[in-house]
Amino acid sequence: MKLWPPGWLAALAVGSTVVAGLFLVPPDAAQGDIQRIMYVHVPSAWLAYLAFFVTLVASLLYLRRGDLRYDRMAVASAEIGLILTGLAIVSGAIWGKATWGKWWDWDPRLTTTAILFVVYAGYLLIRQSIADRRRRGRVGATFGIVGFLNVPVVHFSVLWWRGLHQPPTVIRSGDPTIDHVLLIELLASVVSFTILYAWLLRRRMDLEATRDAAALALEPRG
Amino acid sequence: MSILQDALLLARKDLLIEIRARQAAASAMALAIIALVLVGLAVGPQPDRLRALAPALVWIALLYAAIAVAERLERTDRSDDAFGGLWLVLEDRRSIYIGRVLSLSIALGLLQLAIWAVAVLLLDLRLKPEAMALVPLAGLTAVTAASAVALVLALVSDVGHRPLLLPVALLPLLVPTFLAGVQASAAVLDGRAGEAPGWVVALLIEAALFAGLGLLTFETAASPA
Amino acid sequence: MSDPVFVAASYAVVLGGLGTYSALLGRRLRAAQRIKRELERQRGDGLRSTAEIAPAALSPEPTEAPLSPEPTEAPLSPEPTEASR
Repeated sequence: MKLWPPGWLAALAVGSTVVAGLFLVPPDAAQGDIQRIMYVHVPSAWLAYLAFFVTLVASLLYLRRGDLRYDRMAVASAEIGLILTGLAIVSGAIWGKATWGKWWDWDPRLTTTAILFVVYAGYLLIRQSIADRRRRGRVGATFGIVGFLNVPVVHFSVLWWRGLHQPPTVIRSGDPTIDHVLLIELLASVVSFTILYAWLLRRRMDLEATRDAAALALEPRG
Repeated sequence: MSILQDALLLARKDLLIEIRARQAAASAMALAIIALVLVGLAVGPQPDRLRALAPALVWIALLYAAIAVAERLERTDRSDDAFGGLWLVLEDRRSIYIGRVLSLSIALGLLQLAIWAVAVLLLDLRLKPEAMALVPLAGLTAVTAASAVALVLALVSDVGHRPLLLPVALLPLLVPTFLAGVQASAAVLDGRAGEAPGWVVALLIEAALFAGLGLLTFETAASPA
Repeated sequence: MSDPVFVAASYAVVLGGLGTYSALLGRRLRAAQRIKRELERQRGDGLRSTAEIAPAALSPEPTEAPLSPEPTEAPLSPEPTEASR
């Protein structure tokens, strides 16, 4: 497919937004320099949600059409989503230490994001334990759909349980509370991370397709 | 036979096996009592702290008991390829899912009430008349949890390390049920009955989601390779 | 710790994590491609050797007894009996 971005474009996009986030954009009026963590923390978290959404859609398509390409997309996206969730949790913990004074708090969004991490770790573990290719796809697809049920819970947990975590600043009713220059940098970071995600997704799908082809070569002839 | 008649028969089979063998309930209850005693020992003789922790303790004990019961029922079904026979015989295979939800709901509901009874004794809980609301609440949480457990059982039924993977797959999915169950029970126990309906609605939504997904995907998920 | 240290640590974690994952993904992909090529080569060799044997195996007048054993004894080609039916 021609739509997949090349690796150099992903590196360039992420590199330039990182330089802008660290050196060009002014510091936040309230939080100062520490707020620059947002330019890597928020895209990681958003892309993790997007990745799990892609897993959901690909799982639905696999169950409907039985095409292994969708299953490859589902597992690839789940693995990348898991990595991004882990990075969002760690970068969030660092941000938390700097602003709240502690690495971890039983804040609802933090906790449910950690649970989301465990859900998709379970998804990958279950897949690994099933030898039959088609059954692995079916079970993975079902779990991918059920697991995604937790994503809205994560997002709305801020509103449900009202914890320490700051409420949404961009996607909310009314104008965003963030300064416009900072918002543009944040959106640019999200776009660059999305390009990186797309590149990783294609590579990870290639890996899955290669493994499937190797497994096919192992099967008895006839 | 209709799907519901099949499901009722299968649920009856599960419960009869359990009544006669008494393996799942006994081990689940033992697990729950051990959990309550261990936490009691860890916290020490501080009745107020233990009473405050009671709903969470009961629910943690219940989750582990649920895993023990589910694992036992599934092992019975999978031995001698009994499940394979069921799969071939049944007209509508969703009856296996419904039957499992029914038997698990009854088992988990009774288990929850039994664990509450033990908790009243061990944690010195002072029950008010409103605590009777724990009975319908146990029923609702049991149905919610059973809908999820039966679905996850179908997913991990024939994986290599089922006893290990069942909690890994199930417990994170049950977190909303756990939270809603703990908060609703705490509200009932503390006499804050006005807070319970919100959590009851959350439990109903979760039960509908799990049961709906279970009915839609069970046949695909549980289909033998 | 000062703010710049926290900021640097966050960026190092996220960019380092993504960089390491990309590198590992590349390594896994190359390893899988190598295994696939090897398996396909072996399969190709197997197919070629089968193709060499096949004409002899399919020959109407076999020259070697093991390829076309004449059933001489009953136990090798048992006729179904009443008991076995």
